Amino acid sequence: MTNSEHTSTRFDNELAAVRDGVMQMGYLVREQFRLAIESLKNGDLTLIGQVMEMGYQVNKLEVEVDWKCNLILAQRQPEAVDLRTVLTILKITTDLERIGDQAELIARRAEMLLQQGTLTLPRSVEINHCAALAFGMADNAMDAFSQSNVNIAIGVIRQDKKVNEQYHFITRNLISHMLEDPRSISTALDFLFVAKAIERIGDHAKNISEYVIFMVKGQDVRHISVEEMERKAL
Amino acid sequence: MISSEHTSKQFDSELDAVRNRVLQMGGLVESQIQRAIEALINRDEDLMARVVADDHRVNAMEVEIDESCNHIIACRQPTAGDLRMVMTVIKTITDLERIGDEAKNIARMAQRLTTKTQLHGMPRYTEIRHTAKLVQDMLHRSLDAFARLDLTAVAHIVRQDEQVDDEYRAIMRHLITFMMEDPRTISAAFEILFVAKAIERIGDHAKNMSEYVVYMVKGRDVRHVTLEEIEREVRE
Repeated sequence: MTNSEHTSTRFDNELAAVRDGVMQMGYLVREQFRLAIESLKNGDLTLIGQVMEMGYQVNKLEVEVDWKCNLILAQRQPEAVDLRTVLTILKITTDLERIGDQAELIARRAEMLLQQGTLTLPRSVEINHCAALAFGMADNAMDAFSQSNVNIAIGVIRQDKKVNEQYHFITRNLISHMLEDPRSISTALDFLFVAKAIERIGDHAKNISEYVIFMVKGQDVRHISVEEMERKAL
Repeated sequence: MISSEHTSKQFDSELDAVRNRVLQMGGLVESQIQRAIEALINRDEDLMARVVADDHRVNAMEVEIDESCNHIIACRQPTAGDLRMVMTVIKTITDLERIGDEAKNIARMAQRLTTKTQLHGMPRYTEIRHTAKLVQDMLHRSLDAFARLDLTAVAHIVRQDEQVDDEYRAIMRHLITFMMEDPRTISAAFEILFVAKAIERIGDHAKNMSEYVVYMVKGRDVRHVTLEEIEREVRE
């Protein structure tokens, strides 16, 4: 018994280390996102450098966490919820890394806007609002993961609709802005891609939440309606 | 011995089945892209509707293949090359599903474009068609690499992705010029711009898939490394 207990503690430690890696990734990409939006707001170029720098750390973590998951699967042969946790993490790392990528896209657009001296457009308020929504989703998705909380996960999935609505609202406004003043086209497009990146971050947060439900409940809830999801998961 | 041989044969056939399903899913996704682009260019509304309706088949395959992988890991406890194969499948189908989403998005944008009459003077999709061909080729090569465990095309795929990014930026500049010259084209140009974006993303996903194949064959993770390093890894 001592031996098996020992092994299982070691396994628990390994699993905990992998989960920590995911949380660290989650923290970093949210910071990337926050700083990218911040740079867009106040035109601080040093923030853009930080966003890019953090991207390297995120990439490194992604490879490292995936590698550790492989080791666990090969050496520990986890079962049930432990196995689902490892499989979930393998999926989540991809979405987290892509959130970081989108944050980098936003930072790069901010840089371009800054160089053109056109950082301010009447639509920034809406962009900030949409970003705040998506940021909340990413925050909650990581909470759902760390607490294995299905209710929080479902909340995130519901929020995705709001982000999408907000995104379409921004798009429509940008089009009418361009029509009114064709000189603003190029700037408006930069803002459009920022909005698109924010919308995608919301999608990734939603994906993460779906994986969390799978992790906790063993139910695959991708590609179904929220109502069905609630029936299956609650 | 007989029993273990039997088990291992059964295991092999399970692995084969999963690989075949991935290739089938790949084939389905390829046809979704092909039909979405065709529908866009020919303004074929029936075809657009079919692409949108068929997306659920891609989704269902993703869920099903994931389940098989989970089952194999839980019951067969694969190691070494077999485990890497299953890992690769798990990552690959995520990208395939998202390519499927992009194909559906293209079909949706094509639907919106049919309601817009201000297409006069817009580029006749020549560039879009060209870039789409490029990413279709990338995807095909990635699936081939996966099927044959053959890494010879990987560096080429990564290079093609750079080409796609260049083409995408060129399309963007072109569209901006159009919008500025004739603001009436703005709302149609908007949709085309997102078609271009979707195609560019398909290229990214195809590139990801080819990188997973390197991992499957070589056991080395080549995400986030330079093209030179990938070439070195593939040659060794």
